Amino acid sequence: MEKQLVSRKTDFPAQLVQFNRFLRSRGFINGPGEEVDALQALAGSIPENGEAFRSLLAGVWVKNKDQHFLFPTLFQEYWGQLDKAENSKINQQEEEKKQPKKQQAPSLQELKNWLYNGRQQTEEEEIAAYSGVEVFTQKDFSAFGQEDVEEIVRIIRQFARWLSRQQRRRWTKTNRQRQIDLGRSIRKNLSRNSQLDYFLWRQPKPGRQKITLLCDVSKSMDLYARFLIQFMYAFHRVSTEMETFVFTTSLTRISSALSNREFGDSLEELHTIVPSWSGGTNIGRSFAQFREDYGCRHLGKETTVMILSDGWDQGDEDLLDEQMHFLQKSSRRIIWVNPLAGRPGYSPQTIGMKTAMPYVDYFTSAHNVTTLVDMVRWMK
Amino acid sequence: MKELESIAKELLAEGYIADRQICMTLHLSRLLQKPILLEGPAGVGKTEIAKILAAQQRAELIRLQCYEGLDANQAIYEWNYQRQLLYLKMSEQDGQSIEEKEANIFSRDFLLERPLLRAITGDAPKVLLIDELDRADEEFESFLLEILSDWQISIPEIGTLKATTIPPVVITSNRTRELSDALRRRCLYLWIDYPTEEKEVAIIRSRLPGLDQRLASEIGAFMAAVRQQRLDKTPGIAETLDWATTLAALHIDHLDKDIVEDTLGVILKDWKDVRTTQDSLSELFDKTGIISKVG
Repeated sequence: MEKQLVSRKTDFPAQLVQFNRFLRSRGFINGPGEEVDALQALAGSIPENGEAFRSLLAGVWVKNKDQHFLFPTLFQEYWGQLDKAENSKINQQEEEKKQPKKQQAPSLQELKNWLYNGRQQTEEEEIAAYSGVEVFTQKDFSAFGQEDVEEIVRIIRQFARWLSRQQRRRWTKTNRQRQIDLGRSIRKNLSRNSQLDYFLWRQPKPGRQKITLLCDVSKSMDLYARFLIQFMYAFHRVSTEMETFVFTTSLTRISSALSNREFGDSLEELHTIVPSWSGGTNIGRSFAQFREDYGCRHLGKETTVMILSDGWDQGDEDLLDEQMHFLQKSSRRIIWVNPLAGRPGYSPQTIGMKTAMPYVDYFTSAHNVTTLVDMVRWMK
Repeated sequence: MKELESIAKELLAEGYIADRQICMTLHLSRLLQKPILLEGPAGVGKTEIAKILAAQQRAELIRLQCYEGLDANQAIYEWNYQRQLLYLKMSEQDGQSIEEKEANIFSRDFLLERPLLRAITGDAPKVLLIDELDRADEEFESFLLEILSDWQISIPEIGTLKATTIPPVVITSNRTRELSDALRRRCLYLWIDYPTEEKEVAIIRSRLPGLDQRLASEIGAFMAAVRQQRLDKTPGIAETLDWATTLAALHIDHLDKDIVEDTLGVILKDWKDVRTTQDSLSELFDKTGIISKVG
């Protein structure tokens, strides 16, 4: 495919279009409109050398900071290869066909089969290797008494109440007597001989901050299960703008199980609806599933994505990177809660954690009251 | 390219030292009539480009400072309600029909023109600066898309107002949030970074021609070294110029540790940064090759 993207064309516009296709394959977003722009710019002023030509194309086609730094390399790569390339006819349609097919998300049943047929063994073995770390943190959490849990719930409640009180700086119509909406009132009273007899009202639009919680419930997170469930439950009890998902190798939405229920009932239902509780971890694939099934509904610029995971990942690193990039792009901010981080001297060493860190806006352990308060303060 | 050279010269005449890519983008923006989207760290002269552009074209600079909750009423137009009420009161006895009254109070006399409307109407040349667009919300951004691509604004009571002239538009962003791809595609993108040492020295010299030449190069070298440190708020060109002005006002012709320590507050705006820099002052002096009288 690489070679097909770089080949000598007989006329210049076609060559330019091919270069744009090459750029698109590297994440640039330019379409035919921008190709026309480039041709127009070239018609208006002919660059005297290669550098001016590059600078002109960069001016038209670069659309963000990453591309700004990437463009010179790609320019060199393409035009360098072109110099070596022989004239060849490319079958465009064939190239089209070679576009990677969209990967179909595996069904839950398939995942279950995959999980329980053979693979489970290896996952457990791999996870057993992490036991040293687990024992260490277990001590932290044994000191984690009921009072602490209650305190955490209290803080989360306070935060959620603050969240629901948030107002935006835009206005919306209301029937309640708030602030006079002068524009609408004048219109309404036009027929009443300039007397303002009836007032129409407006009030600040309510805030739309939402939280999407993605919680890792794989084997390595077992130790914190009680804490995690308390955490999710506390958030859910007090906030309606909240969606919760749990994941191991696949993802399950558990919002309905947590809302408006007694804690015991919630727990019971959770165990029946989550198919792979305490399984292995594939963070990238779970996030990809989230993106496919729920992304457009539960992401947006008002949404804070909170991920609870220790970052032990057995999945594909590149996939995780891609998904984290997507999450970052389509949410307000990403908070990563890693109970392991409460350990003194912790630094994110796991591959999953290292991959995800560049995309995370706030990283915390939230394992005690201080860190939780810090997090809440940061979110405000 | 001749065009680029002439743009560089024009900008230099206004005291702005532009590199090749800046000139190219300005040239393309003229040629393709597209807005320029400027991104980069704070204080590298993003807003300055719009000001210089306006000065150079002898055009009025219309600035729209974005903030959270900015909406059409503040950005495009609003009806002057107080005036409408007064008019209605005064014309009580005139015997006008409701339709007549409506036509009168929703005419251009009662329209308050906000920056975007002002920028596209009228004959005088204008430059529109939409500053810190990342501070406004996405609703406003989508709103802007329509204006930037069609160059018209529709006011229900009056009708559609088409732009009499398409002004050069400069949009700046400090990247506190990512702007949408749709907006990016309508603009020419330009990333402005901290200047190289040579460029910074040239900027200092062009802005403060009276400054001692050796001091100017010392300032340039020191600033380059300071920016290599891990700082919370890396100083921009604005700070460099402030500092150079300060040093000139103090009649100083050579940097030494005491002077730097005393005036550090001009370039660093965070106490942690000040402390980090104070701690590594000797190192910075070594790096820049400035021989300190004291150290």
